[in-house]
Amino acid sequence: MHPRLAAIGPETLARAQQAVAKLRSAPRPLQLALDICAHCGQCATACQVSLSSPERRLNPARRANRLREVVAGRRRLDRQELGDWARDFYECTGCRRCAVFCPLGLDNSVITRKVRAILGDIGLSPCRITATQEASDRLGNNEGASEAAIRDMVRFLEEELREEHGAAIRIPLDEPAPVLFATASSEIMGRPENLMGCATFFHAAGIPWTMSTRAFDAANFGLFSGDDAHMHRKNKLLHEACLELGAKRLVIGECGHAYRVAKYMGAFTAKPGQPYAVTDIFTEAVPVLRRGGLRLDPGRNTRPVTYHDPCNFARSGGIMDEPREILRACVTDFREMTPNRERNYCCGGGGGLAVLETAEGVERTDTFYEFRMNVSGRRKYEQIKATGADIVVAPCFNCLRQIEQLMDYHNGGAGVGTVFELFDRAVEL
Amino acid sequence: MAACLYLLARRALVSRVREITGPGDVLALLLLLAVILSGNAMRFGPHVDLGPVRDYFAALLRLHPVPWPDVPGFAVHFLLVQVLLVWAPWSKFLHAPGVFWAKATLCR
Repeated sequence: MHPRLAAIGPETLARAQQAVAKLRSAPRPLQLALDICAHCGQCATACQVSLSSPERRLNPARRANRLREVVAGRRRLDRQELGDWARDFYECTGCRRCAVFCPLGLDNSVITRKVRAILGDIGLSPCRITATQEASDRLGNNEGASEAAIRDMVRFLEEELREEHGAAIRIPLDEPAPVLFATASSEIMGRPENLMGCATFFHAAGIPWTMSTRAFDAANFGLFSGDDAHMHRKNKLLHEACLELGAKRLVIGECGHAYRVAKYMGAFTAKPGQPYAVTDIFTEAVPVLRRGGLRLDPGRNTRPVTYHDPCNFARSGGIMDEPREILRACVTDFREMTPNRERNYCCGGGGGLAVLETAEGVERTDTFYEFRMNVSGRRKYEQIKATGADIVVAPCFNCLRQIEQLMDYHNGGAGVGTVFELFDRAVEL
Repeated sequence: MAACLYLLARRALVSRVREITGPGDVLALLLLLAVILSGNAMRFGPHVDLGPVRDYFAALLRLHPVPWPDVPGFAVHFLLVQVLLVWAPWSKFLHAPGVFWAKATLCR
């Protein structure tokens, strides 16, 4: 038994058992998911994890049944069971594809997230996810970047933009503006071309905007770990920044789960009646594009491009046509994957899986990295190869990381990118 | 009957479905199948005179019940239907109306 599990004493175990007992008064979608599954097996034929391996524990309904049995008292919640949960419920990417195909509309990701919350409460979240949340609580962003580092980075990017476009494209920080822009900090630090593209867009469209150093990061690992307290705490930073800077619109960048939390789940920004609206960079850009406010030369992006619908933007957010419209205007050879939109396969790195590499102290014969490459991401890899595309565009940093690793691991040859990176190349100022 | 047999075969043969099949899933199908078989036995098997049964229900509806007629073929069929109805609230037959609840909470 792993030391983390062995260290769980009777009091901690009792806390987990109490948390399970409390599920009887849980919100309605969770109760329904627990109560009315008819064991029809549709989810197992929809889930890309379940489709890629005959392993019994990967069957979504079977995984959910484990929790059902504990709730019904037919199975005892002990350390062994908790260890299995820590493995099994981090093999679900929470992509909600099963919910699209379930005849009863049940959402297994609700169960997954709840079990992860119970695990997190007794210290059984994967280390990478706990560490990211801690960094985020300390400095307000997942990367753990200080304010000085952020300012340095932004100044550097402004210089790059001047070199690239020969224009003074600014990335304003903490300036009062009608638009507060926030995206994943990992994106800004690890893939700054995307932020440069967004800055170019705001410049070209003539929309006054700003970013906030305190609410620099819209990514929210509370969605993955099930830790509602963390999710709302981090969401509050965005809310406060909007009020402080007088923003009328909170525009979320190319980060699917940041959008879902800000728009639908955060206790502050998703609350009705706020003095600002929550939207995303694509919805912001489409009207400008349609009225001819952007001059684009798709001839600068001639390599075949395909678009991956991130689960949180497409299935959970309904943002499917807007990114395509912008992308089509920026490239000459756009190819759809099949299936796509709300029926798209998850990249295999959803629900925070993309940052898990080791076996994370659970009983398994492979590591999470191997699991993502060989099982959860296999469908995605095949789907991308079938398009023959050179570049896979995905507005989500979990997806990009996962797809980039998939291409490396299987020698796939395609590169990855974001919509506004290609926009930055196509735009004429 | 064909549908019940298909669903039973699916439960037994498709491995992803077999993994999640519980006793309730099989019982539901077997019970339905038994109701259909006992009904078909009356229709296609040896002739069963349903006249007394009609009289019995007519009397029941007029609130003047008469003794249960001695028609064994129908009695078996009727008993199975009653078992099905008694069990229904605890079984997944109740999930059919649940569809609307679940979809409504999903769309909200």
